[in-house]
Amino acid sequence: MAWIAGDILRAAAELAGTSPAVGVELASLAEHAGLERKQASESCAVLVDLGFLDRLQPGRFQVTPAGLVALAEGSPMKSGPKGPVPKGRSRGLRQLAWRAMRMEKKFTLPELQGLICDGDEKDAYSNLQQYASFLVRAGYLIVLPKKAQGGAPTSNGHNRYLLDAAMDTGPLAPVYRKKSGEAYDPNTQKAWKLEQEARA
Amino acid sequence: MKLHFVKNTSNNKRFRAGVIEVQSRGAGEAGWIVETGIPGVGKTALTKNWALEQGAVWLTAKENWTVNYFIQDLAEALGVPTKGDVKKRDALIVGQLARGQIPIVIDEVERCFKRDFAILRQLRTFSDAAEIIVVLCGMEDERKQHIQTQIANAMEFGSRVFKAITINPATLEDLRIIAGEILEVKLADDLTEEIYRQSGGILRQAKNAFSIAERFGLRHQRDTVALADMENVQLCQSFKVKGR
Repeated sequence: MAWIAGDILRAAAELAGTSPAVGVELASLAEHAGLERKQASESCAVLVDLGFLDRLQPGRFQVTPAGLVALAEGSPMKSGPKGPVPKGRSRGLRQLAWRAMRMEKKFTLPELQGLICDGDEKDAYSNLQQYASFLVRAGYLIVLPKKAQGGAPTSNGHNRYLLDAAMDTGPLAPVYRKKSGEAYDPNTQKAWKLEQEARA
Repeated sequence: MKLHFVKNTSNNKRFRAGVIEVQSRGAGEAGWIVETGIPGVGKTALTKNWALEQGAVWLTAKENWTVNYFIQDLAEALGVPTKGDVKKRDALIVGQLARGQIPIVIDEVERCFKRDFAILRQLRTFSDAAEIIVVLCGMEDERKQHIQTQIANAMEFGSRVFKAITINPATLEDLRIIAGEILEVKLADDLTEEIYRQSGGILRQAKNAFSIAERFGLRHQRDTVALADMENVQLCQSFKVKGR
């Protein structure tokens, strides 16, 4: 099966033409490679990690010298980890958010966003709000009484959350099963019904 | 202000290039990275961003850490049961680390220097067995012997298993990149240069100044904020900024 990130890298080099140092927009890459925007975005993230692409700014990329060498050599560019990965390790926003919550213990959503987002995400704050709301209802997070000051003059401030240490069950992010209205913890492999319907 | 981590800074690129260099060293060798910098340069934020992407274990060293306490914290972070047989616990830790190739980050590593670096020696036992990346973060202090040298000497590391990365104050270009990505208004070159001069590249100071300039711009509905707009406005706290 072809590795689509390789297609993206070739597209980036082709679109940059004779001046490979010129950056290329994500939308152009997706169109040129014949891929969905989301596929292109995820591929770019992998290529940035491998050092084959530079992210000049959100949504704009540049092929690196290492990337040009890889293309020229026709390297069998393989995606994926450089070693075994446990099943379920994910780069999804909620998995990243869970990791960040375990790291920080006490946090606001803007603080998490500043750690885990790179600007390419759609509606990241809304996603994080919904996830935090689910985690509060499932008992993982506690909303602290004092809010953090917001940036805008008319802001009501941001909730401050505390990860309940007793509910820090492990590295895998708890999930909300919308159909059954259940919370599922992959660390303990336990599921339980939540009382009200979550918006997660 | 937009909320995301700006990846395209000189420090972040250099850190990630260092990680790739260590990762690409010969099979069977663990790689240790010692990362230091003065306070406020963004060392912790960039390391956390990388650690979160990688699913790394992040531990902040404690003053009262013993070797066993450290192992307990590591086990909890991995979701390994901490009660019961310690040999089994340690075996499970190595198994988790090796199967997942999970890096370990220790922040405030200076606190691990007690008892002849016993905690770091235990960490090396795990990392050699699992062949994983370890990142040690510490605060550089010109008055003390450099952390990088202390660790290299104490652990008898050769160059093949050890990489030292210093996180420097941001460059002017870094500040332009950050301002361009996160601010809702543009900053004129003269204002960015003044913020760079006043902050000395200390990101904590610079971001506070960015916030002040952005609030002005939004309040007065300006696309661009210039130095002249900030007359008599304190952009950075007045304190003696350390030279490079």
